[in-house]
Amino acid sequence: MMHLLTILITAIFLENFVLNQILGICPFIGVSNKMDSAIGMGLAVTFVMLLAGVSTWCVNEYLLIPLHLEYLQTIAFILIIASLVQFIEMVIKKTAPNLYQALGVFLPLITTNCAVLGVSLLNIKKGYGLLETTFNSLGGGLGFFLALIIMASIRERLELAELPEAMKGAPIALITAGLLATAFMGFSGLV
Amino acid sequence: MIKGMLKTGLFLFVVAAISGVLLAYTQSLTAPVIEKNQKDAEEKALNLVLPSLRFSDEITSEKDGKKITYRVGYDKNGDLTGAVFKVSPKGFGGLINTMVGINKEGQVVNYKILSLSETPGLGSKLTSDDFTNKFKKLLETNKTPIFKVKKDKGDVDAVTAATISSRAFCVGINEALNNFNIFKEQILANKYSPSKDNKPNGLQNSIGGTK
Amino acid sequence: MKIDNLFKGIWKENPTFVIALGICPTLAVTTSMTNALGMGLATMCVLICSNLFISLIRKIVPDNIRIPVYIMVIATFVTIVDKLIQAYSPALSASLGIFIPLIVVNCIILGRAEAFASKNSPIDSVFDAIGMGIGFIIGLSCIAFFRELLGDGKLYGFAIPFFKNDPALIMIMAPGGFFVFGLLRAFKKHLELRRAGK
Repeated sequence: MMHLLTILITAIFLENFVLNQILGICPFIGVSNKMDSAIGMGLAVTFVMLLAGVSTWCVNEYLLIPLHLEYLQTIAFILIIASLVQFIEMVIKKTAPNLYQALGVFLPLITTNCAVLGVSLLNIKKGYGLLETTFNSLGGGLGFFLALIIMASIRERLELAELPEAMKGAPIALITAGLLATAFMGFSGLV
Repeated sequence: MIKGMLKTGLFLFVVAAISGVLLAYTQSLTAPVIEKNQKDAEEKALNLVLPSLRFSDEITSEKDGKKITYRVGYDKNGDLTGAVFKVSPKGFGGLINTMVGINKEGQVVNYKILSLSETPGLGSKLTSDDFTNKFKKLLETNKTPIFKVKKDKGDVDAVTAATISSRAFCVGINEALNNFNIFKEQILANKYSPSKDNKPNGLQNSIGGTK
Repeated sequence: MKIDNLFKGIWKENPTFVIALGICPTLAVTTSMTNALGMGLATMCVLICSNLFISLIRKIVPDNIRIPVYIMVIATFVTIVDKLIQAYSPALSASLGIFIPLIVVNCIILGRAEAFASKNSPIDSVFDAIGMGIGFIIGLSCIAFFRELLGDGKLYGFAIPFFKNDPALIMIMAPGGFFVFGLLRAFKKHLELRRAGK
């Protein structure tokens, strides 16, 4: 159990997907200017990362490896992720229209979020088992969620700050992200 | 409706089939090259971590339920020079596949990192000349170094800002040393047999090539 | 007309600095000039092949499944490039790691497929891909130049006098990527503002 907890904590803080591994930056910069959308996107990505991590691991373990088709990994994973996202979108639309209203616009964007494909590839590369994969994917998603809401709360205040014209928008967001990443480096050595 | 679905389905199938064929062809072209690269790198690494004239194939030894595989080297007289272990400690970004050479006195001769996925520019510096040279100097000046980073009261200079990777590296070295000490008798009992170990194994080429 | 397709990606519509596509590799692999060049070339190869292929099939792809088809085409070429790099340049493959397969989700490639190759002739699409590829390499190299010089005291692995003493290591870690990219974006915006002001 301790081992799994370590993986979870590592994935959230030490190897934070956004601030440490630099994966999933596009939505991180793009959707972090409002708190509401940040929460929506964060939840959607966490959910998809968990499902994608587990399902790609299963496909790799029970389909690709026995058939010696490891070279189809990239193409198989991206197709799984794309259909998964589509499937989730349909299910949520039918069963939870409220949730769909909140998450709907973010779902199609997730297919090209490299944190999702990244977590799938990293699980395989690190040689994780199914449980470890589950915790690592969950941690990766939560880490993304955490980084996104921290960033959104900072940026809501940045709106009010007096900035040189050239720094407004993406540049100051990137520099803020850099400072956040520096702060997250303080977590190294935690586990 | 159904006709439309059939059509799109068929189209997807054709695209997938073409892509599958292309990928299978690429795989058949590159797989042997990738394998050969890995093998060549290993042969080169063997001679680096334990300078010897010839190496045995992989040997498996068992003791008290513990099982290890290693290769041993022989000098020009056919005497055993030591053993080479492959260890894979867990680093910052994944496994650090390392080859460690240990001479018959039980001292670490050298190491070679075969592959790692540490942070580029940080943990990946375990393979840099800077770190390698410092480590070699340590082996030359200190006959019984403690293989731990200096932060943990050892003798190894860690790579700056990559303590986790450096610690993992030390774990690997210690694992190899442990293996040697536990299986010392069995390892030293290996004898050079011309029939088995005499085949040219790429090493001779590399010796010829350096002249 | 065609020549314009080649040059617009290099400056006017530079993927890194103007349309800000594919930021993840931009920040992750720019720790050295060599990595930046390798990543840029790999991306350019995939971009050329996928743009060409998608442009060739643009008239026969049913509209409702075009995105899955594009993704499949891109993933195929990415895997081919990945395997070729593994086979013929193991060192580069080791230092770029999972960022090679991640080219699949680089928005530049799907973005160009959807925005350009699906509407234009194969020749124009190839020109577009070459321009965008060169623009991407230039963008990556700009960032890697500052990061490797300040963070490692080197360029293309060669030590540079003065900078090699006491490099600021943070520049080649994750935060340095954000800082350099943010400042370069601000600098570019500053230039634009000055030009507009005149």
